[in-house]
Amino acid sequence: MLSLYLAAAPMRLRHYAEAGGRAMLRQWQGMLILGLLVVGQATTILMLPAAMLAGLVRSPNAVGVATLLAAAMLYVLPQRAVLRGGGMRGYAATLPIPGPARLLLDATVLLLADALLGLELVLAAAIGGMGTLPGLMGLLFAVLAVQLVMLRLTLPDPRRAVRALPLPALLRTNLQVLAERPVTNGGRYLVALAAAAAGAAIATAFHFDGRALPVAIGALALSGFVLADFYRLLREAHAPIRAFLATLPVSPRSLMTRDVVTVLCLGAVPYLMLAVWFGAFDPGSLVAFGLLAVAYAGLLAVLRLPMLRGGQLGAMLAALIAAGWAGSAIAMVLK
Amino acid sequence: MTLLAARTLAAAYDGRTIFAGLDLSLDAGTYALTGRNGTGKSTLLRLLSGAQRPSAGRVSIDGHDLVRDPIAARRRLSYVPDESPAYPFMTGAELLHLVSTARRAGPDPLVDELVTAFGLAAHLGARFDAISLGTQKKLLLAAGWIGRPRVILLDEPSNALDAAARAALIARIGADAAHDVILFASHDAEFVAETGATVIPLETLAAAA
Repeated sequence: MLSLYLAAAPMRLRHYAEAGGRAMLRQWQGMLILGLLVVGQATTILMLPAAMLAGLVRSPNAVGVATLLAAAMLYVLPQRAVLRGGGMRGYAATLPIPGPARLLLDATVLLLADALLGLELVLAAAIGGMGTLPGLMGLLFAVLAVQLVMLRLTLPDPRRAVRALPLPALLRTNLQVLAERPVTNGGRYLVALAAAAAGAAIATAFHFDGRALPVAIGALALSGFVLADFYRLLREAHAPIRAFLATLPVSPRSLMTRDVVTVLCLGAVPYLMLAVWFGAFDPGSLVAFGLLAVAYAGLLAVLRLPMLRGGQLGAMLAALIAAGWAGSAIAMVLK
Repeated sequence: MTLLAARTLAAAYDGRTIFAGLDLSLDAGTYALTGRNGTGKSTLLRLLSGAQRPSAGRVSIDGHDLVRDPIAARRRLSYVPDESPAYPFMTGAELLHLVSTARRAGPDPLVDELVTAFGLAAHLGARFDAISLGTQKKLLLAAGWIGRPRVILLDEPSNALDAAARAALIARIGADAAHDVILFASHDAEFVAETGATVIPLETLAAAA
């Protein structure tokens, strides 16, 4: 079994690194940016999960463990295909590889995918001391166990439902493209909607005072940043058909227009969530929301550039543009 | 003796039934699965090889159930897909090593012969994304004979092969037909005739089920 593991593991790891490398790079970029933010008592965001993990080991509670395991499962969902071995998986299924070897190979790839968690566990051990080490290892094993289960589950296919939706022709193809990766893109869209919902909740907690609109702007900037990744996915999907379309009597900018319209339509939902909520409780803010609609549409359109032309730094550039947009919009509102 | 058997096999995509209630029982010999595009030839090979789970039914290889006794069954079968499943960064040598290790097969003059007959020696160190489709196919075919499986399932084996490789493959199939099952899907009528395969039209098979 060892020789088989040694033959297969480097390929699985390399496949994951090549197929998921961009996503991993974005994660680390995100952590780098977030790691600079101080959230209170001089604790950076990078140290916050570590402190929570150490706390969870010191005083275990079911909710904390369940939240960690749920997050671990959600983290694996969008990457299932790559983590399971990609296109090679079907062929590998025909080879006489024993079950324990398959399990060990999956766990090895998961360890690489969970590198960020590994970093947090090391930091947690540094915070909590050596006494927390067995507990932290237990958490790691629990995370790996639920993730291994996630890799083996047979999940329903929501693409059929999306195909049945009555959609305008302009959007149909692009939404079908996004529906091809339902978990990744659905999850991404949920994050964008959650940002708007969180913005509305915080504004309500602030009783729609002077801090409410800046919070809404921040939520819109975050939504826009999350949705901007759809540009990259759509361009990748269009790549095979681009040359064929060039032979047809359609505008060379038709794909770009479709992509921008798609992202604008998707981005309209978090905007409307906030605008309707603010309109219901603070009608005076609707004028500002009218201006924000134009500025937000501009942000969504502009974010296409860093995502498609920014290369490996695309996500970081998009984050900077979204943050700059939010800062400018908040300054305008405060004036 | 029946080497490859399938009982009440069914396959479906997106809720659309490709075929259902399919029975198959093959003794040693060469068999060509034929049929129009989209009738499910490749799907049937994937189900028989275990590359895809059937919606219903069972498959056994040389008396070993593919689900209940998967390692024993897989040790006795090999599957060569139409398109390369290898990672783009893999080399031919790495693919052959991986399959040999999984099948616990040592060096085999038969496989070496195939590598030579296919003219693969010069390409073993090249990445899969840097070699032609024909060379990819030859590597997968050579891997198909590693471990001397009793049941060999080939999807469009003659696709992209040059004349020399095609002749070598036909000779190899002819040599093994007496003791193994070689079942392949093909649209290449000339290739089917040259292998002397028993033709199994999938439509007939499904209709008879």
